[in-house]
Amino acid sequence: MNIIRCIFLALFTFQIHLFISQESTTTPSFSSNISNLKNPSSEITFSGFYRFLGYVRNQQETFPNNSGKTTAIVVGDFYREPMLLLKLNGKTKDNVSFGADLMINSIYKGPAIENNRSLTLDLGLNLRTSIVTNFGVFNFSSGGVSWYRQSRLTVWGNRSFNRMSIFERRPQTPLNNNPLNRYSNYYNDGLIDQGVRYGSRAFQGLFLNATKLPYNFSIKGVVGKSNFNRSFLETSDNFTGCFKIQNKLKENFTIAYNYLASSADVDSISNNKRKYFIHTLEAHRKWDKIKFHFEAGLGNYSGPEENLGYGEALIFNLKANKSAKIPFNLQLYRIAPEFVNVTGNFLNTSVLEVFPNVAGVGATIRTPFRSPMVGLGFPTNNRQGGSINTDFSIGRLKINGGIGIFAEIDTSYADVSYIHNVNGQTLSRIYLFGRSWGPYNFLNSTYRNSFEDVSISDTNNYGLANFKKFFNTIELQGKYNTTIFNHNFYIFSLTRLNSCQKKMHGLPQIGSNALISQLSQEIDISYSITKNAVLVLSYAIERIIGNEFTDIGDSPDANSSSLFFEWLGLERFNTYNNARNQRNRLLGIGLDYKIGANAILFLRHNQYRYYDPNFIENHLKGSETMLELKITF
Amino acid sequence: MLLFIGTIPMGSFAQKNETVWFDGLARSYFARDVIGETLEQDTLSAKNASNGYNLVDLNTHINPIENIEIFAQLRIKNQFGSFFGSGTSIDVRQLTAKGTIKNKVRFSIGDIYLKQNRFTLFNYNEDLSSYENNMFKSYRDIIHYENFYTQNRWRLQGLQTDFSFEFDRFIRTLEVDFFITRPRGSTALSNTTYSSDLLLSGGTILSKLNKKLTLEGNYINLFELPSSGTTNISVNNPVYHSALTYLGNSKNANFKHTLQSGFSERNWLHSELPNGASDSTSNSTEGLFFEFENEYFKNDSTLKITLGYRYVDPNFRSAGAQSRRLNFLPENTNTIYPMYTNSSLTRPRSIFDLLTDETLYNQDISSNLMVFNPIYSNVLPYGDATPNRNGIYLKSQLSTKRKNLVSIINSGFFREVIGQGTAYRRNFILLKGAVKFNLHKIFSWEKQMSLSVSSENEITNRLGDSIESLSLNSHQINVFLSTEIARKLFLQFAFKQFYANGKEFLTQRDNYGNITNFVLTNFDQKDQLISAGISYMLRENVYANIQYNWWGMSFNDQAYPNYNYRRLLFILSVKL
Repeated sequence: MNIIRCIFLALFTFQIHLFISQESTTTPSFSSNISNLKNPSSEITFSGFYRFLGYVRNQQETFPNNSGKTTAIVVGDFYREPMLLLKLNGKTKDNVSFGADLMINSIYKGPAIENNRSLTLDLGLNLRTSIVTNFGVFNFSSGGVSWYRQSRLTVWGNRSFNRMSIFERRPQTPLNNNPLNRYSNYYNDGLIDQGVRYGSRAFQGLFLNATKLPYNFSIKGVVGKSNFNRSFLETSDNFTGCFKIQNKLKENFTIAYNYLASSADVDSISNNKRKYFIHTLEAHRKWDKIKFHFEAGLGNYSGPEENLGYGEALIFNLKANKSAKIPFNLQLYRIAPEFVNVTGNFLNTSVLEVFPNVAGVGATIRTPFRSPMVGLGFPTNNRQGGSINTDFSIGRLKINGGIGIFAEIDTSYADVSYIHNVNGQTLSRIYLFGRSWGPYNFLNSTYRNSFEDVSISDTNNYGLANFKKFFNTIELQGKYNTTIFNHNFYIFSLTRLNSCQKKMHGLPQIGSNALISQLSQEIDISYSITKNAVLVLSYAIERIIGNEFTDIGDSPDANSSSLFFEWLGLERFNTYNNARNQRNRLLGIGLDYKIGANAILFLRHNQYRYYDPNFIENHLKGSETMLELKITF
Repeated sequence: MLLFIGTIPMGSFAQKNETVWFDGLARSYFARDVIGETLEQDTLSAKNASNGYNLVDLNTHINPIENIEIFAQLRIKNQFGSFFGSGTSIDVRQLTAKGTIKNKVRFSIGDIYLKQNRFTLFNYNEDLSSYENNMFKSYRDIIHYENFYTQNRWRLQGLQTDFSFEFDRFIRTLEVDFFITRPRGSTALSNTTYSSDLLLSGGTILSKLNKKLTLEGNYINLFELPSSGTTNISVNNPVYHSALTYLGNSKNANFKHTLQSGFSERNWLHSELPNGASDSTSNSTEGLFFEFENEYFKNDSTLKITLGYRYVDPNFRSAGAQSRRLNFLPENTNTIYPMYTNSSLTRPRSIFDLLTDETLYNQDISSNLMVFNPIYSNVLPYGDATPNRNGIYLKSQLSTKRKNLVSIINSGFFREVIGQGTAYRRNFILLKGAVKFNLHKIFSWEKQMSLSVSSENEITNRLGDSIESLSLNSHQINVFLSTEIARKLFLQFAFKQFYANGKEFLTQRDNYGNITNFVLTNFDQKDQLISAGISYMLRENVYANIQYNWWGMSFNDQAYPNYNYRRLLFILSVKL
């Protein structure tokens, strides 16, 4: 009891003196825990979008190996696109930027956890910094995926003449202030903004961009990886690096040297490598109304399967502006089969192995490989040729078009492949990234597109085609704008004719002269119903005709390869074949409706048909309905 | 009657008004390893291997109300070479709530970083890391960051609180700290058996008696909660500690004398409740320690000398202070080229592995003495709390006023308290020193240039007959040259060599820490690491570093073949 009393008195005394005391300790009191100070990063912002895509496909005609499921109800994009993209962007006090793009998806298939835990990165993490010195400005970035572009022969994404149907939307397409702007921009400029990735290639690694260097030099480069030419083991060496040294000789005249090297170990102990390298020289010159671009180089490919040695490549481009008397764009190129590259602005058709075949690195993305029959502006290696394009207006009618002739440099595979201009996306959605699928294993699906391989029976002893292939292409686009009942009306017409044959011709061939001929016609209409609503319509047909040197169908009867003359009853002009005789069709209707600032609703419905009477089982028919809500922030 | 005075500096929480703010770390890492030239062929391993990643640790600080903070660290990581979402992970790395109640009682819940003193709760630096130079800072930063090593604290999960009183007579302050954490939760060992929760709790009462005298008492206990599992054996390891510190000063210098002592208990409780029998304990040990340390430091920071005497009982066991960072368990294999030669031998660990392999490190509190490798640390493998040591030590830091020259010396002369397996006791000599020449200051150059040299030597001897006697000598040399070639851009070169020669008995212990066997091991090896690179330092925690390493190990008269490897390293580390 006395002890308690003493403690009480002591504490009481302390308390009294506590209040009259002015002295205080300055050292912090003991804590077993860490002390931390608030030190916020200077800037962190978030941006991104929410994109709901509801999809219903109803198949009336299916391939025979269909499981019986004819209706598909899907939420979310098929092609690994974010439903919620949350882009984190930060900047430290040291001017180091960092970013990550969080991708959050939910497939709305019930409350089970496995259906609702999809949180990942869309592309990856990036760190960037900029150093300003007396010698120049040096921009570094590290990480990936970053979109990189250097030159057409080294690193360049596919950029053609933007002749396409704009009925279908791409998820990367930004929203416009007004739904009609998408169509008016396409009418005026012929370009739809496809986001940063358009025209560039995905790379990971260390990036450098040095500008304002002495003597007007600039340098850019990357050491890292692309999603091509990869090793099976992730830890094995597989790198792609490139750089560009550019000098601005005059205000409108630049020259550049480009280098690219790609190497991948192809066995577990790194004994064998598959590699290629490229050196190119490039020149850009601009006059008042004419632009000139030239790039030429040497490439070398070697691998355990074959050593191709050196091959040359040349791209020449002369373009007169629209303001010139005769607006034109002349493109010439020659790319040897030994000039192998998968990140340039041309298709690789000579080495299959450089395509990715490793899970997780875009393994499923394999472009047409076997002598692809492509549109204008899509060079391929083992090919040479040229095209001339023009672009002019007659009143409100805007016309652009081009014609091209191309030839193989050396004989190649006994195949031809062609990309579907109509129903390409629809087919690719039926079997995502499938290779050699369909009842005849003709079909191949890529990212939002599909192509078919055609076998050729005229072969040599090595199984290669017994001849060089020649390709012809014509593209013609018309765009017209008027008003109906004081509302804007746009109509877009696109005609494409491609053919591949054994001999050179000035124009595309149709019928038995061509191994394969492809004719497509697409018409898109947009009509502004109100300020916030646009009605869209689309109609497209595609005809593919093969001759007797290509795959022969299983139909006992030959079918007409000229429906028009058959319809007219002009048997004299009508022809019949047993090879490919495809008749594809798409009829679509849609609505773009702005529901608020940065929020637009897109509704699309189409009826499709993929049909070939000579290949009895090649018959698909059905409809697709898509409801897309995109909100950006 | 309560005598709280808010001595907790809470201004730190109120610097800005944002409810949510961020900081963190971002890192790009890439390493490519290549097999070097060796006599013994290795055609089974890949000639080269590479890996890399990018990560952002986004520290999200949420201040819903003043003086309360919720902290979450999210790790977003993607592997180098994985495209379009593969190889991506998003994890929660830390989650904590902390704040103060009525500006008086500070608390933290969740992930907390705790430290008491060097004998109760302390996370000692890893072996051979004392005098690391800047060349390997990027490696060392990763090891520390990934293993949550900060300020010699253990990262634990639980609750911590502290508060203090101030008085104006008899004593100046009374400071109280308490924590309870769970280093390991109960887990299912099988369908019907569960391990027990392992808890670590402790407290401190510290009083600044006056301006010069401080008295403190610490308590910590690592224990298993038998009822939380189905195993009937649980460890209990309380440690008691007290210290008295005297601070003195003269015109130009300060003195500090610290006397501290404490004791520990450790036993395993065998609960017999299911059988109706009474509980019993086994493997009980008790031990004490004592240390008297004297510090002298000049006010101008040119000289600091520490002289002390320490005694630690052979049976002193303090899990919080004796748990090691480096984990030398045999199953903990090297990440880089774990096997080598065409005979597929397990590659012996080198100093390069210790420097670069974050997976070799431990984050757990261990109730038993962890395995150590005597060549890397035989004198004080468990830091100052190493049991069975008795000796004196001397440390000094000397520098010129302009910091032209900075030197550090750390020496110790220790002896075992009792012999292990023999009546003879080991003698230990510890000699470590480092000197740094700031050449740019010596020669008044504008750009920075420095040369650092360090030497770390450990000598162990034991007398006795041919079986009992042992002798082990290990020595590490570091040389580092750094020169600034452009503003903030440094060209760097480093050489590191480790040499060990002699014989030592490795102790083997059972699950209760009792020695069961001694394994005689001969050492005669040399590790070398040469490195050259460039570093761009925006500031201390923001840098880009590219370096090339040549490293390997050679053995004399031993069964292992020599090896050599090379590495290209790139690191971009940004503290956000």
